[in-house]
Amino acid sequence: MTRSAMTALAAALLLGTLGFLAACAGPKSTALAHPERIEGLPICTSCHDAASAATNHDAQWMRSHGAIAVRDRRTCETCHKGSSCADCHAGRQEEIKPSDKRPSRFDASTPHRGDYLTQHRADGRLDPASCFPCHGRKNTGRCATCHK
Amino acid sequence: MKRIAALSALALLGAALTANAPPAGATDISLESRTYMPVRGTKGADTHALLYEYLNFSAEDLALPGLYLRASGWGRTDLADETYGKKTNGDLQYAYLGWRAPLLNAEARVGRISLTAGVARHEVFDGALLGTDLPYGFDATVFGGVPTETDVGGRSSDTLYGGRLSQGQAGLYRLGASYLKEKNDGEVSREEVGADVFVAPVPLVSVTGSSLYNSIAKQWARHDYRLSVGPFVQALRIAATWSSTDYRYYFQSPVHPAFIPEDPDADEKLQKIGGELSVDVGMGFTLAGQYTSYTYDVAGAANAFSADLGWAGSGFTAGGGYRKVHGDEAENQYQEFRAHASAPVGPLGVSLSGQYLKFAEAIDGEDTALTAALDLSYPASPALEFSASVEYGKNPEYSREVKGLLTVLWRYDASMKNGGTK
Repeated sequence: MTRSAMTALAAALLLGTLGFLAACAGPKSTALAHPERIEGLPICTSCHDAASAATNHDAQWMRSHGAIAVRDRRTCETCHKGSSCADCHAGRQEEIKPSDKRPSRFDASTPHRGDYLTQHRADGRLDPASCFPCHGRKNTGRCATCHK
Repeated sequence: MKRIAALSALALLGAALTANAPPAGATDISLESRTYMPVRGTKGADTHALLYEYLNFSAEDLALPGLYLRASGWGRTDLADETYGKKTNGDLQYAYLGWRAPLLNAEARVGRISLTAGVARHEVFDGALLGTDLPYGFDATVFGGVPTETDVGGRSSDTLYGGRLSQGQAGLYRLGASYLKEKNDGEVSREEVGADVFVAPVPLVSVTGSSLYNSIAKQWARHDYRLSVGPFVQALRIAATWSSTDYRYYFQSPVHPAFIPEDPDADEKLQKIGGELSVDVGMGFTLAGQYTSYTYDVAGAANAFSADLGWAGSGFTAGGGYRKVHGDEAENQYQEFRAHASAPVGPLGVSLSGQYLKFAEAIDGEDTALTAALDLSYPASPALEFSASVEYGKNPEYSREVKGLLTVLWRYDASMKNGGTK
């Protein structure tokens, strides 16, 4: 048996096992959409118990939400459409800065506000890992203007 | 071309399903159009006037309960001098047909998918995704397809696939393990294994974070963790952060040349330790502070401090902030001052903002940068909004820069009737 055939067989077995377990499981899944429309930045603990504190959209949210988002593909979709994420987490070749799309959203700490063309020289040297998810393998059109 | 044809066929299928969908009330359809027209002029240089159109579409419970179609993309044309080396540009950000089972959040998607799950961070690929909740708190996601990111040199023989398995209990903990493999032109360019964690052992205390292992180099590439405490009285929240990044193993197969180390033998590592505090001090005021220490194996050390004060009340907002970066390398040192205010003036929303940067080391003979911006918005209706912005800049790049931006936002959002998304 070739390696690719073994890989396909393993994938089929994994999917079959997951499907079997899913079919046997009880309906204990979380809600896919928030039952009420929310305006502004929600402080979840104002309605929910302390277990929801990690998702409070407070002053630290811009720095903390990444760790929440990786936990579940549906976490952000509970309240947001995919385009809401794509506004800042750009795809292949975004050209408009997040702060230009939302000029009056000072509360959202929209990245690259002001003269970031100059500021990024220092920030990029300080921690290039913070730039890498959006500009490492994609969205490099504007970067290539200077970084040949 | 085949993939574009497949995505077009997917869009046509969605349109056909929409046309045959049950009467309104069963299908939730939302459509959003955003038109941007930025104009930029710089002294002695080109003038750029661009027209962007962003379109987002979603149809939920399309023809069948649980079937949905979601798509988002944009296009641009130049109305004056050429910009970014192209007179026109555009991108299909995502476009997929999906089906959600009535139980267990079991879900399948096919098309152009944007995914964040474990080591998959904002991955965009043309392919398929399967995911489901499982017994005993397990959750599984598998995905695969052709990545959109490495289309430099063509997409032939490019593949990306992986998955994430997690187990947890809502509000208490979730532990995840994930895997991703990517090939460019048939060669493995990226192989990552990751672990992610959320633990809230006692109320108002949580640890979140992730670790990434480079399976090609067989080395840990990055750890990134955060301890959060609060909110307590006055919405006081404190956080401690730690991250460790090994440049050689984290920046694998970058397309962007700035991430390729000048000296590949210089094994630079960054240890970042920080603290954050935010507190609602009452009367609409919020205070936030942050401190970060950067320690490098090669480049020395640096630290950054920032403080922000904000106020909001009855439609008015105001705020200001200060950030200072200090360290061994003078070229990294700067101070930043920010201020903003917004207020309703008749039917208009008016906001003013400014930023002043002071660099320790001059850049092209200039050691300061100033930006001032004015934004006016007019909501003609809940579905239609116009806004206009003008920004003035004086910085090391330009002795005088003026930018303008006109925006028209229109949305039709039937899904809002039940709360839903935004």
